[in-house]
Amino acid sequence: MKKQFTSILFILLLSLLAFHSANAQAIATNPEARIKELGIKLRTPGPPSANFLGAVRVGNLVYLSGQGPLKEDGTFMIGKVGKEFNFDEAKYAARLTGINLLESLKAEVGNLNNVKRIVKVLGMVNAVPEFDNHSQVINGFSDLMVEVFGENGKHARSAIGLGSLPRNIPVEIEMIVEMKD
Amino acid sequence: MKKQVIFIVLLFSLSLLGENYVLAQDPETRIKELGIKLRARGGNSSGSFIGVVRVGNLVYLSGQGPLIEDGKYIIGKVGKELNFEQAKHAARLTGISMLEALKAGVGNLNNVKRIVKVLGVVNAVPEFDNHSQVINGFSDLMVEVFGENGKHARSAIGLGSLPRNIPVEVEMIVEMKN
Repeated sequence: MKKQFTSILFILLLSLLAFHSANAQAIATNPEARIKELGIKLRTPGPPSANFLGAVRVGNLVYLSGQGPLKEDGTFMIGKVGKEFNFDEAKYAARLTGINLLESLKAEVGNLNNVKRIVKVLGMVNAVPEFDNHSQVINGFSDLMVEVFGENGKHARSAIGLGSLPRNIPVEIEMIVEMKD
Repeated sequence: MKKQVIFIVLLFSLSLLGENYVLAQDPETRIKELGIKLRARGGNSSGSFIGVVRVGNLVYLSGQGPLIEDGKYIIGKVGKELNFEQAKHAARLTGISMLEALKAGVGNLNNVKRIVKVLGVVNAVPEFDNHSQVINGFSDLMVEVFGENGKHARSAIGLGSLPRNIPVEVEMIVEMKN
């Protein structure tokens, strides 16, 4: 009787473990669900303002145009890091830029669950010459990619500082993504 | 009889339209129509690098600047020595320089499948915020030459300095037909 009880407990424990790992698997393979869980609502981007596109696909690689920190009200965060914006604001701008990039990626590929991995990121900070915390700012972007895509969200990356950016946005980021097929 | 004639005329005009369409899709012809003369470029690098590297069907092009004539560039910072219109013109000249480097690398521009990715860099004062419109000078040229295939993914950015103090530098990735 006691043995039976132990084995039942053991099976219960095993199934619980299996359920948990299945759940973890779901997180890694279902970015669309993860985005909803994170409370992020992806908007449909309008067409680019001139003779270029939001994304171009070549084979399984998707090249994405540089995006900036578009706020919920449809306007951009404006200002230089180390002048109008402090570190925390800049990191938040990088996260907002990430959401904007997910939007243009979704517009190109339809379903984000078909993303195989994030390949390469160029993160650019519009900063005063003395600023030296670019990596930590761009982490706001990279962390979001890992929250959404799990291990597949990890990427090769360069973080750099620029003297100016379009509209005087604090952060601009471009990336290359590999699709499953 | 009258119906037949109309039909033939219709067919004829359709074929003419088709021919025009072919013309518009031929980048080498488009470049001539635009009055652009592509210069033959020798070594367009000054060090241990080259203008073009091809990997499979993708061609990676080194950054180019607004070359006026052999070795002579438009020089100056945007928002200081150069205004917006001059900067946009520099971006177009950089596009011509890029087409020269591409032609030197691949031979026939009609074999270009599409322009994939452009990084447009403006050498600007810190207050400048019109980078996108400057780089349109480059992007518009690509669409004039390659039509819809000239549209590309793009980032436009501003740097504090560039080689020789050129106002614009652009690099790009191109996909070839085969």
